[in-house]
Amino acid sequence: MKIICLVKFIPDVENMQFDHKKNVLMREQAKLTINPDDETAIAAALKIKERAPETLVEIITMGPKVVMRKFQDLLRRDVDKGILISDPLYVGSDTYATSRILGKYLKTRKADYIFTGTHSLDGDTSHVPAQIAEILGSCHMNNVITLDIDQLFQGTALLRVNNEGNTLQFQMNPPGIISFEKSREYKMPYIRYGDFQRDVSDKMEILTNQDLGLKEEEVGLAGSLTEVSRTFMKEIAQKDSITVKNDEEGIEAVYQFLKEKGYV
Amino acid sequence: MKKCLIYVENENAQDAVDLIEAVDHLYGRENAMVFGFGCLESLKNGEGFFDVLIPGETEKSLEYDVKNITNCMEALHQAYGFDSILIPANYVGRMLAPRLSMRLNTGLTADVTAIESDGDNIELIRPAYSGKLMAAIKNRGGNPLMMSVRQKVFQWEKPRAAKSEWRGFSFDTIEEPEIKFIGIEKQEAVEDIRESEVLVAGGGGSAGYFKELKDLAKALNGQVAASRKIVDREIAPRSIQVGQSGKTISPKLYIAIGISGAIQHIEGLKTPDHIIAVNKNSRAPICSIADLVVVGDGKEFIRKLLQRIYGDTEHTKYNE
Repeated sequence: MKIICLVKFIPDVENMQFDHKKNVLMREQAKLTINPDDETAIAAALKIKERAPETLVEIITMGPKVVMRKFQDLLRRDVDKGILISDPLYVGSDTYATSRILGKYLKTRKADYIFTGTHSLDGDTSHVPAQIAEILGSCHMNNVITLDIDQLFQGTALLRVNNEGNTLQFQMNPPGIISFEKSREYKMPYIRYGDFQRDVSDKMEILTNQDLGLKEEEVGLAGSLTEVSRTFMKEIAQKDSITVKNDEEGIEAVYQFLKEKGYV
Repeated sequence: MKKCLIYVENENAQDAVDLIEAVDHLYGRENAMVFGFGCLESLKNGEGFFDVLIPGETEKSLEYDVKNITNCMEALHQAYGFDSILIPANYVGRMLAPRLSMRLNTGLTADVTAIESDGDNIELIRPAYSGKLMAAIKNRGGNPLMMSVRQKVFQWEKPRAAKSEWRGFSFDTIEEPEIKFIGIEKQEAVEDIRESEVLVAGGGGSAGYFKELKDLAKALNGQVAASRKIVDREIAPRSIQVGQSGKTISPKLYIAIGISGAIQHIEGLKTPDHIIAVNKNSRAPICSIADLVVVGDGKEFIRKLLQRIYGDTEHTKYNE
């Protein structure tokens, strides 16, 4: 069985910078962290590998080379291979162009399943997994919380999916894309003591556009089908607020307000 | 006359009807011919709202089968050449919209919250970078313009108009499904915060006493909601999250306890009639949109207000 995991490193959402002139995110400066849903996807793949060690787990990420250190930490787990797709030409790609780039590589790889996260904390569009599914012609499922590992080795993926608090069950035939949401079921294993500094360069490969061979007009801002034409701070209609303290008088004011409007 | 296609998801037909308001913002309702596509049963709810209704082949055969729904909508686009395709960002819609946009080689803007349009020059507005900014997005691809929209962001409140025209369409690109829906394992009677007129919501500041919000919600006949900080810390489920990455709500009364009011949160508040903000910091952004600001500790606020609501003697629980 071969599983490819697609992983995104996202800027620390609380402290990120934005280049207002170019309308792009200044990823190079931002502190990066692995997207939580994607971490669940890797953890699920590694759990399968723990059960069946012959399973091959490959991780792919796309981004600037600064992700390398974090990426290597992932490879210090029981991961077989890591691919970093990185090229300055790719900066500014929208989800469409990003999916084209990843899809170009994935078309050359054979895998039984591709694992991804459902949401990313930064963009939160959930576009890329579904778009890659379309490029590869495979089926796809979002919000997966668990999959049945025994069933997986019987030839189909039995998936439990969270839809607004309801749990639905699906059966998926390979090859397919399974997008996880953060779940307690799959926890990323720790790096073994002694592996913290392990050299993992033999597991890692960096691919640039020279390797993928996309045309310049197919990637980056040029290859994007959507464009941010401007950004602005939202103006919020302010109200003339009444401010009170959390004392008897203040609580009375709240109570009278609720009473006047008919809530109590 | 512009032609627009709206996907009508099973069991969520109202969300599709609400997207007619988005069409109105794009071109003006009277300048557009609005098509609805979905399963027969669910399309019936669109009668009188859509101009044309085109049911999928059989009633439920396409349920959750995103690949085949994509095949059908691609066939419809080839036949009609839509100017825009709008998809509710529900469970199926979130998988369908990106897949269809890739199939049609057109740009897709997710979670649109506003539209600025003079008919030809169209900007789709969505929060970006975790809601720190709003971004205006332009489609650089050709037709159709595609967008997904979360529930309740737009609301179509006009009454049913003339009768819809039902059209048959022979879909000959339906393939053997690769995904089989087995069933619903657990259907919790989850209360939908979007349906509640009163919401008592807790943010990061309420982490230590979040459970107690329920008592206040109960006293006011409402439900509990949460900000992203509380959901990220796994104190509350995502299903009750308010904001850009959660739900858009329009209650009558919103009590925000320990919520600072980041844009991404405010984005989820669709014109509540009344907002009460309880915060230790009177400069928190939420305070400037509140009718009433209580400066202080949320836990103490809940206890004191419950005492006042229930009276001092009847509910000793709050008098200890």
